[in-house]
Amino acid sequence: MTLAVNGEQRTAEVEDRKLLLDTLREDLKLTGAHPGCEHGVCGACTVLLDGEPVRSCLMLAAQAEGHQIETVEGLSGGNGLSELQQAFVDNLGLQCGYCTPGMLLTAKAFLAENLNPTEEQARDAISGNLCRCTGYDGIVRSILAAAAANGGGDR
Amino acid sequence: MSRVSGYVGKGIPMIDAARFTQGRGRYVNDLPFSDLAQIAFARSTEAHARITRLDVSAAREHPGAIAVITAADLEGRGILVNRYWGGWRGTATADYFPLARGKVRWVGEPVAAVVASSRYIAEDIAELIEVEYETLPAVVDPEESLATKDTPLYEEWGNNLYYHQDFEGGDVEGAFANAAGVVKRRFSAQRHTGTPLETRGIVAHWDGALRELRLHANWQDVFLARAVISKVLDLPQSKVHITAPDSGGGFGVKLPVYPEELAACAISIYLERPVKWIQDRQEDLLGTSQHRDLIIDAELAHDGEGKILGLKAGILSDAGAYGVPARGNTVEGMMAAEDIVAAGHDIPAYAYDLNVVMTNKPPTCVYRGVAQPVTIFVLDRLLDEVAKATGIDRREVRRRNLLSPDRFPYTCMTGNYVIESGSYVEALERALDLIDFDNFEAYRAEMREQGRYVGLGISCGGEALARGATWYGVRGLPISGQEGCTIKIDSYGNVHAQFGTTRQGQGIETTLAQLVADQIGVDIARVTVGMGDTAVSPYGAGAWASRQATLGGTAAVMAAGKMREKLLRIAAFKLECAAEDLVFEDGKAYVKGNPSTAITLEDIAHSAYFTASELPDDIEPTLEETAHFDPPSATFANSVHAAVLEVDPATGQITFHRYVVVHDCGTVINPMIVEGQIYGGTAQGIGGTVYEHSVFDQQGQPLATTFMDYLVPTSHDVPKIEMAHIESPSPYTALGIKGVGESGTVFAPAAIATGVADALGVEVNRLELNPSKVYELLQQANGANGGGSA
Repeated sequence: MTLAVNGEQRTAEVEDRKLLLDTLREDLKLTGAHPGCEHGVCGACTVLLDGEPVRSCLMLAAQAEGHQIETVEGLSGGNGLSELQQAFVDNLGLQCGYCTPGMLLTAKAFLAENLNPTEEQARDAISGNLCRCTGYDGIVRSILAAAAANGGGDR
Repeated sequence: MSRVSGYVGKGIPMIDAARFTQGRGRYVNDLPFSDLAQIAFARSTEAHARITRLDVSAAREHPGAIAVITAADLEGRGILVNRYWGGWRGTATADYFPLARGKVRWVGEPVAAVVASSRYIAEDIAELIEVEYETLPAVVDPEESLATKDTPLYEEWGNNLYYHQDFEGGDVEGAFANAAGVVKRRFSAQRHTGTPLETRGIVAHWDGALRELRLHANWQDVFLARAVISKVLDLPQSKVHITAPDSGGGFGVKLPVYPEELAACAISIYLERPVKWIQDRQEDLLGTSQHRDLIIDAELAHDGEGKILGLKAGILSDAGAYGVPARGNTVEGMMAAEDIVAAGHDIPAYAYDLNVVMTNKPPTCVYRGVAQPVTIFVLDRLLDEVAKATGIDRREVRRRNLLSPDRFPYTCMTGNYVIESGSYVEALERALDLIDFDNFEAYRAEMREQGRYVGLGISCGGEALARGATWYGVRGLPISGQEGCTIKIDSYGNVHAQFGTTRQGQGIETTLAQLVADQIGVDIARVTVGMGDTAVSPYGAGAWASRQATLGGTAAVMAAGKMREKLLRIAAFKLECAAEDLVFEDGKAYVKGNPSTAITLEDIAHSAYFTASELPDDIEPTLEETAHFDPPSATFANSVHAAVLEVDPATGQITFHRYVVVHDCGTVINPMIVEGQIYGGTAQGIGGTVYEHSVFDQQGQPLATTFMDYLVPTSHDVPKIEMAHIESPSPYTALGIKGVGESGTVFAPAAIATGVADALGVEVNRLELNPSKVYELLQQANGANGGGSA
């Protein structure tokens, strides 16, 4: 099959039943998406499908054909770190880093629709992604910092 | 040893955070190997049963089966030579095997292993394995387990008692006889676990020609793992090489050497090929260690004026189904027994009786906080009951019992701990001022007028951290109570510091780099830090008891001090002056007042490596220094959590209005990392009190095996924390560093429990405060108030 991933056409030969998550990781060597539960609760496997966050552990690779997939590896566009990624680095938006790709992609989709979010809105945006290390505060601050860096004022 | 400049005290970002934001973590499941076969396990569906039939023939016939391996296969080859069982001196032992032999003792116990080219195929094949069981009565309740002699888990024991210990110190009888009052209560906490977002995993590669075992696994202590594996497999430790890759969280649950990981090693030897096992979430909730399952019958004698005269504790700890190597299953119970009198209160007389019993559940080992979340809860609840009984306010009762600075060093009643420093009373005052304790009743009344129930929870005290050799080693376990650091400066003048610590995201490599950069006098960009590799790390013990910055950090300062001294000697020789006349900073040495004389670290290194012939004979070539720090039995940090929380009378849900933490971890190396630890720990403390519960039915069937039943806190469940810090340096450690990692988890539960008790005017004696439990308490409160609506 052919998958459009981070703007590139990638081909892979996989069993019908293979999950998108496992295909990205094993066949396309994009190991940024992580298995955390394999039943759609934790969000560590989150990728963007046509700009919307989806659980790649709940999709078959075949279902993703014909859609635009974006993974964490595509975030910086090959230029070091994006503003969002830098905000996570600067504001302790990660500790072990395992939830981080899912958080970043969820945040990216959120910030595309919300240029000037409140703390409550940012907190709500990531409420479907579990983090066991940070207590979420650093992640929320990182999202707000990224919004501010993009010209969103104080709220 | 205290050179503080530059980096210590600064909240610099984690030095390699960038790659994680790019999806370039290297967790065990990411490591690229060719020709790796994958393992899936067939697992017991019974909690306690004899295996009457195990037939793998159909599985073996599957075209994708590389191998299907049972205990009999491994025994037939004699791969596991020595006993696989965990527990310190005095625990009962049994001849346990990492794949079930004849009997299963917990739902999820591995019965057979399938090896195939993919996990998908391996799981298909596992379903073809046929097992028949003769069900035995399961024991799920620890009190029942203690009482029964019928069908024990290990028949040769005749009962289920894994460990017993008791103690009496001080005049306990006198304290209780002369008491103005005694508060006696039964306290308990529900079983729950750590669920790091990354599950366990291992890549095992046995090279039959070299007779070497090469392992990659997200263990928190690579030296413990090597000690266990080399012993069980009868290999010299030099032939077992373990590396811990990036880890997606540990929290204590990745300390044991579990059956699956040992089975993976044995399977690699059996097949003479590399194999990989990555645990999935269901397997994690079935078989990773579980914790906090304690019953504490506590009695506190007081003098009528709020002061504790003596304490008695009867402790029952649920151990689970087997002794997990290496720690075994007594740590939770033992820390409950000993640490309750090491929490910063003056307790002059104490007796305990501890029983640790097997049940048909996964093993109990260690999880962030270990017992202290429960003992702090017991202490704060007892003190609140004393306050009620005497009319003394809750702040004053705590003030009268917490250690004031003139009491240090304070030897705790069990004799093995000395509290060396701390800000117990100061932290209490600060926290209660911040949360406006004195005006709380007005706030409560204002809320009550709106039909709302708010309470103020207080938890306070200290934690015993960074344990020395007296805790495990002296009890016979191969767990090192020390930590070391090897500093090497390469021939181009780059500094590398290697440790036996491991990293799970707590920023330890950053913290240690800050210390090394400061102590040697170089830019942190020239410092690299390595850890968790048995082949190159100095012998250590990894991540537990909030020890790595304290012990690794002190070892780093010691090693850096030796290195700096050598650098100065070489520089002094080259500059033809005395070492005292030199300045060494920013990677350069020069004669004081004359910076034009500067030589670089690279110049010094070149001399040490390549032209030692030109150096004095008493300077050895190369630049490598190692130091190990042997600490006291523990060092002590202290905290106060104060929370204003609301209980919704219709739903039993708890929401926080305010959450204050005052915290003292001695000298702070990186304030951003410290705050991150407090937030993360508090989140787990909230989860473990309000949301998380490893539930079992009467047949030992686990009922919380997915994240839909086992609820991990989300971003909506953790409040904003107002934090204040105090620094009471330890006199034992470099720069006075103490640990911080567990404090949030230790103090949050009692803050919540005492807050709910205060909000509803009822006793809260069990740390299980999900909405339905809180709703039961609400019914009690209504009953006590004579019925009517809440």
